[in-house]
Amino acid sequence: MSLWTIVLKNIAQRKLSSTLTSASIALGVAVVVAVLAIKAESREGFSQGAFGYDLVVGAKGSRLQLVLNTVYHLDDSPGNIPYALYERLKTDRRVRLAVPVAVGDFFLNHRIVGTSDRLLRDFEVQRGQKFELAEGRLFAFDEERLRRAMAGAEEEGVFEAVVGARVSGLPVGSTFVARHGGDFGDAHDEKWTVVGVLKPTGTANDRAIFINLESFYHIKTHRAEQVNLGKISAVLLQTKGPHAAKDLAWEINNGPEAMATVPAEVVVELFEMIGKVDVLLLAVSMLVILVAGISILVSIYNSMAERRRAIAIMRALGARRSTVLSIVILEAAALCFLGGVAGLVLGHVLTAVSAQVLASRAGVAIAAVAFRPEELWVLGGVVALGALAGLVPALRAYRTDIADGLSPTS
Amino acid sequence: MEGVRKAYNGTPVLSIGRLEIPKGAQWVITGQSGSGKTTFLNLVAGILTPDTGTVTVAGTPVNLLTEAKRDRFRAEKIGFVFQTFNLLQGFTALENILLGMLFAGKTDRARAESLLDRVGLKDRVGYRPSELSVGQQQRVAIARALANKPEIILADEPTGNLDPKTGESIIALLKEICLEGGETLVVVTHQPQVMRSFKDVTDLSCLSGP
Repeated sequence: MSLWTIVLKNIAQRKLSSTLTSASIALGVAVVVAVLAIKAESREGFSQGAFGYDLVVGAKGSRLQLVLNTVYHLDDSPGNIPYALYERLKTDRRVRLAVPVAVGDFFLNHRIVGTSDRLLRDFEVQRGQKFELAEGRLFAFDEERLRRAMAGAEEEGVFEAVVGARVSGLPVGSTFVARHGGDFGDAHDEKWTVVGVLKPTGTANDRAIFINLESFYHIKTHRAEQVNLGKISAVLLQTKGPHAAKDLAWEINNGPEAMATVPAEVVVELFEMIGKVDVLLLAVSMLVILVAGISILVSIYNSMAERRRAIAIMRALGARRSTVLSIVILEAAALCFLGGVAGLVLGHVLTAVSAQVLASRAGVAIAAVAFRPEELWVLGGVVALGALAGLVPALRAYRTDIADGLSPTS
Repeated sequence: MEGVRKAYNGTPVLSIGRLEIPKGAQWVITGQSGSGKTTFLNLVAGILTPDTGTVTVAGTPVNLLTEAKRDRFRAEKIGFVFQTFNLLQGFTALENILLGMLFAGKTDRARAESLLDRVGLKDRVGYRPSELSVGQQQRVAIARALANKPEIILADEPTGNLDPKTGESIIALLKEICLEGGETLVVVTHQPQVMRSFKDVTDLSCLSGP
């Protein structure tokens, strides 16, 4: 028998109101935990996804759209740039690696990226990590055949694809049809053969399908409409150092053909924008917790009238005023603790659900079960709020007169 | 008690010139309604302090102690039995006794169980008050009163809510246990059948002080 026994029995005696108040605390804590986790993890994920792309060169317009489209395989392409620009950049002394990309087609909800084999062979997708094949081989890429295709030459195309780790239903040897513009777009006649499957990279590339770039221009409808002949969507650059990247970006941005942007900078700007939404969400969840704390105060305060006799009995048995005060404060704090722990669990569940959505939509990996130290602060804050909420009814208990409380009419 | 006076809102409720109850005695305090019987017990227990005079219990001037010390004194030295039993509903019979021990700073489960056995409720350890008869509830209250081996047991109308037969058995139990353990027993009652079973009876209305 201890004070905690008394506290827990008091909570158990008012099961419904205890459950409801703890649940409202849990809800607020869950939102706080989920917002903190998703914000931090997605920022980390997006930042990691932008690694390796020193510069992205594309059509003039929105930098965010270009990065989202090229790096994260989201949004539409802002436009096209001349293939000739890629050929110039490829031989630029400031460039270590240049990779052309062409987008516009989809298989189900997976973006099809036309590119050269250099992306999958030489590009560092994570620090010290290049693309690796889990199965099969890279697609066949022929730069001469690409030039002829871009010029509109009629010849038999080679349609090969390597799929990312999270593209399901396309094993090596399978074929697929591409649709223009999205899952409900017009289907092309051509079929691509999957020749390789990549290992997971933890980036949006896991959701993409990479095809040999020349096949993009061998599509009959593209050739017939002379769509994009001589043009590509973007060029991915790895430069020889940050000064080279700055220098090159300045030159391109001041030219008429294209714009160059550093994806990492755009990610920072993106999260600064999102940060305002985060603050709002956190403010709302703090409000939920505060309201729950007030409801605990009201609930326990209202119960003081019916507990007056019980308090007087304890005092008659020798409990000090400070003891009955402590019992009430501990009760409020315990309700908040229970709600807080439930909220931490629920918050991680929410994060796990969001992680699935983010991974499938943006290819960003979030660690849903990773415990963050700031969650301890959230729990501590909630318990402190509970103790504070318990103070007002505790003072009422403190002031209970034993004789009055024990009288038959009380 | 010596020269004790107590008033509420200017209205005198108790006035005792001198009253001495020896250690180990079994004593009845009676009086008309409003004569201050419950006030008397509350003064002895240190729940109230007199306006004038001294209240000495087991050699300790209770009215001179601080409130916190009076609470401690009450936990360790006083056992209370109430007319309405005053058991805590959310706690079992055993837990009600342990609660009595908690505020004295020590809990002894074995002793609590043996006390329940002593009052004839060995097989009611896990029962809540709502699951016990009124007589059984008062027995639990008696066991709780004895939990900390008090100097004195104060019983405020302990048979007030019981039928005559049950009341008789409760008084007999109280007297027997206090005789065994040497506790002083003070029973406040207005019931003649209870008074008849005690040798020493004091009517408060005959103890007016100066």
